[in-house]
Amino acid sequence: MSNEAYVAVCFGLTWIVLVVYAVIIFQRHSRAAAELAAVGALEMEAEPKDADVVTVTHATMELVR
Amino acid sequence: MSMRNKGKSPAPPRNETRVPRWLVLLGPVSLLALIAAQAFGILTSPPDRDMGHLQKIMYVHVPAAWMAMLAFTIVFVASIAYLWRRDERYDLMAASAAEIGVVLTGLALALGSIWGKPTWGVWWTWDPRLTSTAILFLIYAGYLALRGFTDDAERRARWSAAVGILAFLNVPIVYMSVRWWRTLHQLPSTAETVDSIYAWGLRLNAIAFLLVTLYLLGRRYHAARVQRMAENRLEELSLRGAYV
Repeated sequence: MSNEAYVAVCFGLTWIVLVVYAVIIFQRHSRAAAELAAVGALEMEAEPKDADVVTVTHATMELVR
Repeated sequence: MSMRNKGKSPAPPRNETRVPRWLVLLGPVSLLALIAAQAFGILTSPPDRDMGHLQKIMYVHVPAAWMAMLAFTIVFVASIAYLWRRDERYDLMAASAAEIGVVLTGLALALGSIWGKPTWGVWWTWDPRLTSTAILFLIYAGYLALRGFTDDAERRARWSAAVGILAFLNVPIVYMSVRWWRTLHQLPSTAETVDSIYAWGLRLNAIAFLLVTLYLLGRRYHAARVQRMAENRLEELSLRGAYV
């Protein structure tokens, strides 16, 4: 292998490693963001709905009256 | 009469996952800087008297090694900061920097090996610099493996911080190895020690690698924070019995 070929391999390897690692980081970020969104949806389900709050409030008001 | 739920919105606000603007901008800036620095190095460097065109490998091998050292220094500082402040952000920074350090050390070892074959005649030799760098790589790979041993975030952070501080002891050994035990590997290549015609190529490539490293570190840290946020909120939900 010529000297120029060794140089080309080194520069090529550098780019491959940096680009592949950057892609892995981007994928991790996307996955983490999706997980956070899924947790947000679960939290929404766990929270009392406005309708429930309104019903209880009206019932309470009736009792007070 | 209508009453609205005034509590904190459970849906994640968009800015929690959004990458900071400066970091988004740093991506193309570091990319262009790396292309420009490498083009400068390749186009302006005449063949070396002894190594010929192989000298150009210095523009990727040396900056990769320097940035790995920088990453491990960040691990060291962040580990101390974690043990002092007990703020999980320092733990995430240390973990992100360790990962980048391992990637760059692996790259520096591979590039050094490819450089070694035509200049020394061997892919690998148990030279003190090479051996201490390989040990450095294994220690920090171990650090990353250790983080997977426990699900307890606080314990994981404490263990990792201790290892992150102890592992750093090897960094000055790697740096000084070529001075303490002069064998096959040459003395450190810096802009001051190489021929002046190669100095600017090395400086520019080091700056470009620094920008790339900071960009990758920023992105990795941000991804880790989003991940931790999701884990913490899921744990909170589990404790409330809302999710099993």
